[in-house]
Amino acid sequence: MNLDSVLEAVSSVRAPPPSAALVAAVHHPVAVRTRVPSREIAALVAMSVPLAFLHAYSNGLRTDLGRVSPAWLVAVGCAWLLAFVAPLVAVMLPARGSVIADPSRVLGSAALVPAFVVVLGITVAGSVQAPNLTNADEVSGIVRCLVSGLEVAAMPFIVAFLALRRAMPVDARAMGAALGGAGGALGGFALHLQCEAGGAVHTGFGHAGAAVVGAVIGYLLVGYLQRSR
Amino acid sequence: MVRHAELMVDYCAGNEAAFRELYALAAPRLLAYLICLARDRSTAEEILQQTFIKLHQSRAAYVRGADPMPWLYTIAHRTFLDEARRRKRSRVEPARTDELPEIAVSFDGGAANEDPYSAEQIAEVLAALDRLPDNQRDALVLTKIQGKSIAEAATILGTTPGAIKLRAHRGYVTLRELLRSTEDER
Repeated sequence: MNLDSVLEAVSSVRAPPPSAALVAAVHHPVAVRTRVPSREIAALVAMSVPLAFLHAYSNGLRTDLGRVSPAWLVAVGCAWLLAFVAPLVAVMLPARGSVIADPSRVLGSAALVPAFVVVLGITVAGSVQAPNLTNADEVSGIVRCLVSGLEVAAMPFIVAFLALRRAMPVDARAMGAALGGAGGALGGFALHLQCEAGGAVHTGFGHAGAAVVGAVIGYLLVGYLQRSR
Repeated sequence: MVRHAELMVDYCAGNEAAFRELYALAAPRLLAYLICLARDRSTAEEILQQTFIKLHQSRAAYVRGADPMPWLYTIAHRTFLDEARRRKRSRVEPARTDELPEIAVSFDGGAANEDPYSAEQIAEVLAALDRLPDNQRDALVLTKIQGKSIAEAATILGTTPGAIKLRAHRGYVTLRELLRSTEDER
């Protein structure tokens, strides 16, 4: 037999009419406002960035604000924010004519953004002078910053997930990773404002680590949520 | 697909007739897809109804002007996965009737095509599909049976076009081998 023709024949079916339950559900449907992705992204950024500032302010802004270059502070802050917004756009803004995001863009942002912030943390953000710390202090400082970054990451992750929960592909783990990475990058931004501890190790692991750990948690959490529904 | 988008926009605006037309256009394709996943016509029909109920509940997530079909496929596939998990948890195994797809009819009731294949041959293909790894089966069903492009299948399944191409090719090769070995056994 010709496999291609048989496969084509398999697709020829007659569907039953809508069931009584379906007919009842859609009877006189109420008009709804459909999703506008660009507006959702703008709203999420408008909510999240002030939250990051608030988090940094409530934990105490970095004590060396008067000593570091304002241009450096703003430029590195913008790089963190770019790492927050880029994956949100990749995940929440579908390609023209589609409801679901382009999977290549989602996978790309899920992989590249954590890598970008690690490089940012190690090279640029870590360029301020590191204080002399013992190994134990260094490790506890990294863990403290990592946890603080993840606290900030939670809100945008949850809000974006809820906004997208009905427009996800069959396997949405990459979306989870991209959103987790985005949240972690926002955490890195908040840490940039509140933590003066320099050094490539601290910012590489403690600040950028929030994006890496956020991406891993997002990947696992979305996979778990999809399986356990 | 422009028609699907127009109907979806009208349906979101509260037009019930648009929903009925969308159902008539989309349901046969979705049912064929679900039969390939569930391998049981009555389960597939049940999931089809649930898919459209979920579409109704999720219609606010639609992006105006977009083709709703890939999105509908994801809703159908995830409804199938939810149903399969629910049945596994409650340990209720559907009785596989192996009921076969009916020959398609056009909307005026006439025969849509002349099917040269026996019910037995189609049943063999469905049984062989069931033996493929899930990711290969999904890619193969979408590209070879549903006629979706590689990019559309990638969007529906949430993976890259390269992965879809590879899975569909491997699935096709495995399917051919499975069918050949079935023929040899006879």
